[in-house]
Amino acid sequence: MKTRLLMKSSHQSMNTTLRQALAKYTYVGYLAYKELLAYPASLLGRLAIHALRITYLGIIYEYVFTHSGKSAIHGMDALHAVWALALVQLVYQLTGSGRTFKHFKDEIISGQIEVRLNKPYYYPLQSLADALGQAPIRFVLFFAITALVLGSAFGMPTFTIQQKSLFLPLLSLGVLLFVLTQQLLSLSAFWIEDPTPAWWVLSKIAWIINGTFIPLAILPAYFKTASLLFPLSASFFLGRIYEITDWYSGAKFVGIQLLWILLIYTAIYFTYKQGAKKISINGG
Amino acid sequence: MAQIEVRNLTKVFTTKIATDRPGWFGIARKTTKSVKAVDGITFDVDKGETLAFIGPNGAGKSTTIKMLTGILYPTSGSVSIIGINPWKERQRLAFRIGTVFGQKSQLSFHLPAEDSFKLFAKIYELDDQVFRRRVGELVEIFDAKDYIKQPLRKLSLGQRMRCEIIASLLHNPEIVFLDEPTIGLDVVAKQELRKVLRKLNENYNTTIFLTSHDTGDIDAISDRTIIINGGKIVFDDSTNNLKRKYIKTKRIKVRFTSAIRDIETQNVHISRSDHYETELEVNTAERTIKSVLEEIVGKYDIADISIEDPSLDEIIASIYEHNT
Repeated sequence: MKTRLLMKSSHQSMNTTLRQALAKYTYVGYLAYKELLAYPASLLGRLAIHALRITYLGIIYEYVFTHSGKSAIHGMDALHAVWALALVQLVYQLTGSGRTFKHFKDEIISGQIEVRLNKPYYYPLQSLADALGQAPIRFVLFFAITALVLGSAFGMPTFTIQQKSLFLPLLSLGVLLFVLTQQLLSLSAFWIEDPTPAWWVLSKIAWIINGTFIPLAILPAYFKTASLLFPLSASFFLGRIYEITDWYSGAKFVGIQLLWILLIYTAIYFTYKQGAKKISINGG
Repeated sequence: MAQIEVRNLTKVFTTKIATDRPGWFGIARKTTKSVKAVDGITFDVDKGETLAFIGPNGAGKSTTIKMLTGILYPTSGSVSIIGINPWKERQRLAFRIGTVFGQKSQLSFHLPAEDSFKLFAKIYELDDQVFRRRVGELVEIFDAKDYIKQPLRKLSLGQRMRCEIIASLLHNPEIVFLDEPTIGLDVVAKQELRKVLRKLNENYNTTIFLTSHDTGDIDAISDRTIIINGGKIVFDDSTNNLKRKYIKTKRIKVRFTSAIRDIETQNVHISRSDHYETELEVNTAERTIKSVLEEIVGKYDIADISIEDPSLDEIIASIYEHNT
């Protein structure tokens, strides 16, 4: 009877329902969250580095604006410049700064992917759930430390109603896009020995045109155009939230992010399908 | 109908290798080389069988198991596992088989095994009641209650391997594929693991497909043995027949009550000897065990005597040599 019950359960599984699929990936995310909390010292260290980094950037920008004699560049003052940088850093921190790229690529190169392939789930979605599972708790902690540090040292900025409404969509879609971009890049490990140099080059280009160290608002206009054509930059549109002056400009950012997500997910689907056929893990 | 049907299965790997050309650009030049890891093998496995699939390094064992579980695509040939084509319906097959790769963990290194078990319950879509009952049974069989709540990184290799096997059995698979499950384990852990695998087969009639380097695994777990070498099957028969066909010598260990200077006997090879103990190798085609024992017992005062088969390692080595 016992065995029959179990077998029934297994055979029912041939037709996975949406509820079952959601339960699978949600639990993957929950375990990623538990993993993050399993190393509290590491998490505290990251929070401390984040606080130091944004404080340092804040001091630099306040100094530059004060000594240049300008209260604003292209309409952006020192306070908004500092917050724009901090919001870009926030997207990085929510995704574990390239954690997905490293995990996914390492599993392909080491052959560890074989234990994922013979499980009844779709590995890119499992990886996505793993990345997103840590995002909510990271958001709470990193946003709190950002608000605490920047709020007490430089003050809180004001947001318009459009900016407030689009804060979470820009952040969520940005995080999703950043994770998907990392996945797509790491999938190249099926064909090339190690895609890490490509990741370094692309992420450094992204540093420049996504406003990691210099807010895009105060750079020449062609940087802004270039960032629209670059998915890694579109991941960090949250840093450009102060450019949203009406619903149309906000919808444009969200629309571009959605378009990139669609394109990149489609690319992941086909690349993974081909890549899985190429696996050649010879030997034990 | 067989649970596993393999027909003319072949896998060719193409790898890039460095050339020996001299000069600065020589090291950058690479050429491709094709290696036939599995070369047209055919066999069937019935429900409830315990099969050892063994061979030396590079024989094609792991490549075969990876094709049977849908991880690798074959170059040619066909495979049917419970009527399912592994690489075309990988996820459907995954619900009905369990896999353990001795050198690769499927559990979270940072969390207790219990958490990974819960994840597996979700992945295999088990309802809570079934999962709780099943995990309870397996934890009892594998005697793992004391450590499933500890982070995996804090467990010994043997404890970790037990957790790996529990995870692969949670959904009550019809076939379990184990690739080198005892690798790196100490003698005690190996023996315990072999016992539970045997128990699993007896209690649930689970088909066991095992690859291993360790001939002790074969002796303890498998009723049937397939030996693969150079990608081809060189032996496929019962494990008992393997021993019977290839055991041409017996080993007699004798302990004397008093010191013996030189032991003398005809048509027997003395492989080791000191004053109180000696080890004789008898070719049973040349001389019967009975006559050797009669001679020794008649000539010397014996304290103890034992007769052993050669180890399976030696038997397999002789098959490899014969087929190389």
